[in-house]
Amino acid sequence: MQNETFKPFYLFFITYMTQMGIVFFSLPNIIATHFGYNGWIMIIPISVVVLIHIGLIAKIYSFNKGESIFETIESLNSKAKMILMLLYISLSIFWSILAVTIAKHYAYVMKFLYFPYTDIQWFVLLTLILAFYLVTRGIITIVHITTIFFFLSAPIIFLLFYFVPDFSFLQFSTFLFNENKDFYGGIIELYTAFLGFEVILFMFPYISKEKSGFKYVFWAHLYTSFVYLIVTIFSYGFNSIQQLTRQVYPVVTLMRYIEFEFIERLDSIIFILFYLKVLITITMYVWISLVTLKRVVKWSDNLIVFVLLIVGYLSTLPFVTKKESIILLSALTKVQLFLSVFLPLLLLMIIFKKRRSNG
Amino acid sequence: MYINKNLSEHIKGRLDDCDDLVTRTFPELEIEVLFFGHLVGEEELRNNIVQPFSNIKNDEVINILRRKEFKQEEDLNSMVNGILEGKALVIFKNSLAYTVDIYVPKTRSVSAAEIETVIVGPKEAFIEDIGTNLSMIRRRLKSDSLKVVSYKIGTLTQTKMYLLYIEGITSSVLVKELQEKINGIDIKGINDLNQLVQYLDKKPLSIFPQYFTTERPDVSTSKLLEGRVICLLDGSPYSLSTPTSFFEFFQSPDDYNQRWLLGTLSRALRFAALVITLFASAFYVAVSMFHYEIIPVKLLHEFIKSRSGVPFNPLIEALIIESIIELLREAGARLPSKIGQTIGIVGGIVIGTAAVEAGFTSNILIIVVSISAISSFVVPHIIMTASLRIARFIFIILASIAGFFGIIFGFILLLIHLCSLKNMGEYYFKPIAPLSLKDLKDTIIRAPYQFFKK
Repeated sequence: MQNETFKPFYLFFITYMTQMGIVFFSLPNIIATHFGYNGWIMIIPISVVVLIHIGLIAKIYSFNKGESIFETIESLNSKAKMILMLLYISLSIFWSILAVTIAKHYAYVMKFLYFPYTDIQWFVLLTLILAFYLVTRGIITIVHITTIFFFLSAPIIFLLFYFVPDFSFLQFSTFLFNENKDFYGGIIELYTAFLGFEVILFMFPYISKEKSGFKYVFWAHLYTSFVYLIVTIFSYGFNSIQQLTRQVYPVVTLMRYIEFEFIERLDSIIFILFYLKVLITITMYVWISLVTLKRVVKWSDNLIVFVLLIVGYLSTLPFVTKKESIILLSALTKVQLFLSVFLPLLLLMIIFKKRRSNG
Repeated sequence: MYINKNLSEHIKGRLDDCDDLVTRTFPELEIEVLFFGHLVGEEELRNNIVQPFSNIKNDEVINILRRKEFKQEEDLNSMVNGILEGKALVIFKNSLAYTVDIYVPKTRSVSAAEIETVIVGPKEAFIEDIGTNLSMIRRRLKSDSLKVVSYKIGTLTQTKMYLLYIEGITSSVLVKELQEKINGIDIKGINDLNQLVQYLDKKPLSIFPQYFTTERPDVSTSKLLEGRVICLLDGSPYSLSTPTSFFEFFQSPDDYNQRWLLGTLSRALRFAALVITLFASAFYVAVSMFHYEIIPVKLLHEFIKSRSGVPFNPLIEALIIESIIELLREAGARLPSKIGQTIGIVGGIVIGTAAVEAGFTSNILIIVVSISAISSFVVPHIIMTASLRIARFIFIILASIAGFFGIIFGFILLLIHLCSLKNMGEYYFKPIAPLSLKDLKDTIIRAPYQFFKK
């Protein structure tokens, strides 16, 4: 059966919403602790590297002509089926654990900020229910929902205008990267903040074939970089470097400053609107683990997603404190970073090998 | 079954114990006429039956029976059905049978729309007679590409139904799919189109209406022109159209009849009303249970003062007031219109004021609930209003469980549900999902007509 496809412009929303995650709230803090003064500059070179990384995926897309990457991998060697199956299963489990860990992390932050007396397991379970419901509706509905969520959450950026009167260039100072701690660790950390675009790899068969459809992924990445950059610049211009290194979630603090006639402390509403983005990130990782596991087992989507979420949930149960969940998440994202570099390279190798053997 | 002897006895045997069957005989001509007196028009009976058979000779009868309004029937079932449909059955020499259509339905005359009222525009609404309804559409759409397919629904009621579409605009796949669905309906009887709609529902558990019904012929005609299929059912002053979109329920003919800017702004108002009616009470519950911090200090004082005497928690408080509003609404709907208004105003004011004075609820909640009740009436379609009312209660309960997070949880569930609903192969949440900028100018806004392209 032919897959139902979506128009390439949806890639913009999918990429942006998957890239943007919970790390957004602590980004200025990460940058300030790792890079020190004027650390926001580092966003630009790293964004360029990510752009090249996305370029790799774009190359695969143009070579593949809409073929799913599983078919590409499986075309390499039909004998190594067992190994491939094991690889698929472990990848699939890894991604579902990653998805649940992201959900858990958001729940910890939410508990920490707004619901001090609530057990985080409730939030995790509710999130998993939503992710289950959304993933089992199929990729087309996910794409549509992502677009709606984008338009609901994107206007938040305009709130930055509120800070313009209090913005001070004095805070920037003339030092560059002084007082930094772990420069190279910071690069990795910042790079993982851009992760999420690699899910596009799994969507090839669902994108309707149109020329230069992939440019939307680049645009999305540039938009993400722009948002990261402008928010970090505003944080730098609003706080001193010492303040930035001491606040865990500088963006939330920034938003607490906003006061309107009828509503103040807008941060709780914005933080919860941000849940839309986090949910999409979770959903996308659950979805790629679904499509991966589908190559191995012939169960219904509902059952696969259910099993995956249960596995993900149980495997993250031992990590009970917020600190543990942060450590787990940062370890998992580093693995994911490795995967997102390794997978495109592997695919490109296979494609080149195939081309050479085909003449 | 072909019978050539004692035909009259057979028919009367089938219609045994139907005392309303009228028999008229012309013994000298060997003619017997059977019909139900209350289904036929007196004038039609006189013109088609009584006059032709009066003062004629035996040999002239056969000439009269050759006229085209006399249709020869050979099957006993179709003879009986003919009588039941309001035809007169003319039996000649007790062996030949002819039906003559002299059916005149006794219905009310066309009157102004009562539920979907407009400020500017045509006033007439459909009535219970399907022929009149069809004539109202034909009158507006004088084109040979308007096609009408006839159906019978219900094994006992044999209710007549018309399926209308414009050839060349409506996709034939859509027509075929709907025809299959209609043929698949197996029921004893049907009373109203709004029941039929529920038989056609693809997702019966959804709280949202999946077919658009209207009592206005002008709206039905515009749906036809947009390439949708229309169904009319005998005995029902409604028409249904499909494929349906969520946003159709927020459109009113007024948007099109008035200037575009007013149309656009009133649509914006309706979407604001949608947000208010869904979230206002839930927001109150969430704020007063979890998120006191978002109220500015100046307002917080008043807020706490008004809540200080209330013995219940905000959830119970909100549910009580919402239920009272629902009671008033239901009572107002069932009572005659004059008393209904009294109960609405007096009940609302008296109970509202007294509830606050008695310390049952805070007056801020009364304001919130009243605004959300008023907002629910801004939505032009009563069926959608009902769906939103159900959703509102769910949101209130979710807000009491997890504050803003509960609201957003419910909201996401609602959105996923709306986005995955499909009606006749089209997405219910079109043109937001799938996003189509081209169609947005006639859903979210109402652009000037010059901006629409064929």
